[in-house]
Amino acid sequence: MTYFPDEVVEHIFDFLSSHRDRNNVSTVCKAWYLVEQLSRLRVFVGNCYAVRPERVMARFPGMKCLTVKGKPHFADFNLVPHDWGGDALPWIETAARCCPGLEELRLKRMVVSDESLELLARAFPNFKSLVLISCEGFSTDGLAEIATHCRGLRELDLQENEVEDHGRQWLSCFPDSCTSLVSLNFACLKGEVNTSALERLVARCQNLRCLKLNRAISIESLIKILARAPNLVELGTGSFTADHRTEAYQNLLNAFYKCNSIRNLSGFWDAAPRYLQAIYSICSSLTVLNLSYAPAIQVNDLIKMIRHCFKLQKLWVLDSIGDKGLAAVACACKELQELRVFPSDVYGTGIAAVTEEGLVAISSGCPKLNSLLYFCHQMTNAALITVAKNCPHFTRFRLCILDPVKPDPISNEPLDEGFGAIVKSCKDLKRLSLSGLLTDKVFLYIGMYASRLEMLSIAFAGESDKGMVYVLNGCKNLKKLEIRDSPFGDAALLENVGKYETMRSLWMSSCDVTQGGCKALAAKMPRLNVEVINEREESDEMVENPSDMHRVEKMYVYRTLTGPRDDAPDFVWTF
Amino acid sequence: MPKTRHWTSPRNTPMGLPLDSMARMRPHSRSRKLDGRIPTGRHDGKKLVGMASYVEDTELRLGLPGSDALATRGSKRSLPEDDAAGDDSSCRNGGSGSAAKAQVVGWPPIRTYRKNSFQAMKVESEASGLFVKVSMDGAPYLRKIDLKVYKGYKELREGLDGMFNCFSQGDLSRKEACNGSEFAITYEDKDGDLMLVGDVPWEMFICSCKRLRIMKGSEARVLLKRKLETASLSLEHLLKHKRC
Repeated sequence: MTYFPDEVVEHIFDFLSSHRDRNNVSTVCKAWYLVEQLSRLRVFVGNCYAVRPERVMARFPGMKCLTVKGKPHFADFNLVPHDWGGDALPWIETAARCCPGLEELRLKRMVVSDESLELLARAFPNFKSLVLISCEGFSTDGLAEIATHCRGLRELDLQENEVEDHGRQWLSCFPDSCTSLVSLNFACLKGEVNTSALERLVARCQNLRCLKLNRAISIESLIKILARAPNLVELGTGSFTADHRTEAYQNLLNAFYKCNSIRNLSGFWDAAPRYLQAIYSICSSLTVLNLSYAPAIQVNDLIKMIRHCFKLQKLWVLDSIGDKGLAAVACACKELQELRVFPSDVYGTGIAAVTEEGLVAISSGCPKLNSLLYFCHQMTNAALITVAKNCPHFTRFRLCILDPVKPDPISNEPLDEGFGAIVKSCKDLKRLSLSGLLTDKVFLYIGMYASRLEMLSIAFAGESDKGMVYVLNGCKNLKKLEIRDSPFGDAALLENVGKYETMRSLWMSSCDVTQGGCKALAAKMPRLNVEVINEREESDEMVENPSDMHRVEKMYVYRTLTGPRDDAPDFVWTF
Repeated sequence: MPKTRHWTSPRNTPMGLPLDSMARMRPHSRSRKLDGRIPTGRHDGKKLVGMASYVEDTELRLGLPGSDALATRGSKRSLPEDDAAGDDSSCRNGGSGSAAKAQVVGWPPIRTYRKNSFQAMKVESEASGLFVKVSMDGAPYLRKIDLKVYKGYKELREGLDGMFNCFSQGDLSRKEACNGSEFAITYEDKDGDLMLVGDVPWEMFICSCKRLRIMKGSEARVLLKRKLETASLSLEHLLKHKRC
């Protein structure tokens, strides 16, 4: 292939969409490396501290779309201190200097300031798409900058961010000349927006296909918006509750009747059962339904609605659906591929309504199921074995038993065999989260069978270092390993140090790793950053220099080309 | 090489939680949101220090016999041997939450955003005061009243009368006006249905009432008439059965 001119090689590379494939071809030979680097348009950086922005942009000068991820996954659950890092500004500043042709930016778990957004809005004349997922640090002022200055903006997608509300005028900042919006998602914003500005914006953006409203939007506004955007494909409904009942219902019915392109529904924050009936007409074409923020919907209304959704591929619900509701889903939704059942009681102290029965019902009714997130109160080995048999196509299997070390309630045994069956049967499993009572045996199974596993989350599991070693030695495609509250110590950590350079990151908190162990790892592997997070309480008598025997509360290890980062706060020590 | 630890069945651990994780419940000193976790400093088997009194209330319900010190780090998941003796009964149903379940940071693994959303919704529904809108047909604007302020239907009627002057008309006495009243008080319940006020016990009413509507004229008369009819029908029915 080296005899082909570069243009041909480049054209062939155009067919490679996955960044991993492109990474692989770039290592074949120098010629391919050069062709590939100049032609890569979409760049993915899985860990913002693995590489400097300058280096990325020097290598890929043609970059049009950049994705960067910041904090470790367990930051989602409050395990990472607030100002640990993950600032987006260096990336935006460097891009402004080196890649002003940037069109798309996707950030996940990063700290994005209003200053960053302002720079973003002004520095990239062709900027088209901003996607922020689980980010924080910005306010509606930053959004106003984006709205004002990004001419030709096509997508503004804000997913589950913590946004400070500084007033309702940011939406009004979209100029009258803005007609290019295709996707607008502000569901996570807490404050009110100017609804008439929103209606006008929707009316003039004829290409708008995705619109996700926040809870402040009432049904009356929704009806007006739908009237102006009958071609929507994805809709987040806002609060779905009205002030005046009688007129609203009929108008809502009419509005939805005209929207026959809707395939994806979410929102329903305060939905009253009566209004749910208004959407039956579109249920039969839905492929995605997210009711996980609608605690007011009762099981029976849910079941009535689900019965119409026979094309559903993705369903997110609360556990108030119960085993009974899941059985109804299993009957109706034969195309289901992804199911997420979230706890309605977020502190997990109540009586959860779903058990292993619901899961078994789903597995037998929905053979195409390949992605699961399931919060429940209990699980049995028998159920897991059945699920493994019924659904061998799982790529993501995340089970969370609310009581963290609960055994099989029938046999009182650990759940090793159940999870073992899952990894043995599901050969394409890429992501696994464990829970319940688990010994080292489950890790033996995982090491033996989960050869395609890329991400593993462990909590309150295992008995000894052997468990962790099984995983490190066995799972050859492992990229991210996160462990909390498990008895793995220095011996496990240091058993296979070379492994960590093949992975993106390792997180261990409340385990048995000591400071000495971290230091030893850092000494052996200079291309890893071994970060120890030390949160100190006032009552803590610990001196500034704890001994090597001192157990480390939180450790984050990741491969990097940059050495220790220069923005680490003082409670983060990098060895 | 640290020795293999024995896992003791969670029968012996009331909460089903490893004890150390209990001890590890503390907020990040720098995190913005303190979600009511128990602040504690602990390392290497030191006793809990600086516990708030509410923590002690819940903490004591661990039910460990004769010990107020927690298990040391070395025995991560096993209790001191004295628990094996007779304490099964108190521990057996630990999972069903008989004791106040102490909470572990970051468990269950739910995104902060989701937790905060649900907290907000919960807070709103539990807000004190039960303010509902009241509309009267023909009136230019609505009013809001706090249902918790009234003890029963009579006080409610009086309160509404005071606001809208719907029941007393000029010289007519209130009683006369009520009997020949042009108005009926209706409400919208949780399901969105229009109901006549007065059928259910007061406590049930204030739980399900979402808004009030004072209906006037012919609509009201029909409703009132129907109410009288059904009342007299039930009375007839009752008398018939009594005879039999």
